[in-house]
Amino acid sequence: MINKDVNVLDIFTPCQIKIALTNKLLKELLHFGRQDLQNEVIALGSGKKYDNVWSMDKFTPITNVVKDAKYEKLVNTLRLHPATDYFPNPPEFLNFLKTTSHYDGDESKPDFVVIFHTHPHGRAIPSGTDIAHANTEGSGYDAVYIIFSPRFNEISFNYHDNTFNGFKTAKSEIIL
Amino acid sequence: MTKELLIHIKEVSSAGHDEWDIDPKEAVDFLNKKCSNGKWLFIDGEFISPEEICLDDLVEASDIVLTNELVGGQN
Repeated sequence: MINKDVNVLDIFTPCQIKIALTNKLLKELLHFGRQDLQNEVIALGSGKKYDNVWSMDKFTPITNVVKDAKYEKLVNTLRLHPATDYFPNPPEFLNFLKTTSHYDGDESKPDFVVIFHTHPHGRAIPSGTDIAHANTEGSGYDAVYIIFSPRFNEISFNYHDNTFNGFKTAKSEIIL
Repeated sequence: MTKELLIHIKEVSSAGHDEWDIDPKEAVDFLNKKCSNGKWLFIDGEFISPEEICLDDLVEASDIVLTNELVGGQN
């Protein structure tokens, strides 16, 4: 079913993590990802981690402020490129974290399971910037990084365990 | 008897969360080191760049949180 909407790329060594989401939610995510064909868009997904099977039940759009003058100095320090990179609005990012178990270990809250962003001009492959920051101590998250390329109409599901092991390809299960 | 003033800091990461109570004299250095290693600092919900960290704000703050940074790109 997913192949009717978008091509799925397998880039890395497969891992045991499976991300499950409904076809409706996937369509909404793709629609959101097509809303800006010039700049990267970002969303964070919450759901539940059941051992190796993670469900994504909801996504929260986060504003990309990489071009915002308020963050210019930090964007430069991080050597990000405003034309091609993303920098999530920090207060929106913190507010999202607070709604998840990731923030305080409260298991009654949903888990932080997905980092979604687009590559409007490039392939749906983790970039050097994606890899470098995910592999850096203190940076990145134990999450499935979903990358969508509206231009090439392709998507990839890439798991990172927030260590130095790099990305692996997560299995994806689309629930009809 | 006076109560020692300590700065309470919470750090959220994939490994769970840690909390510290730190002497004010050490808190600015502590946060600067964390921020130079990819952490983002929020004081009472407001994002603070490393060069903006000042002791007065830390003393007055009720909520000091460090999170992992999140950035990426297509190059």
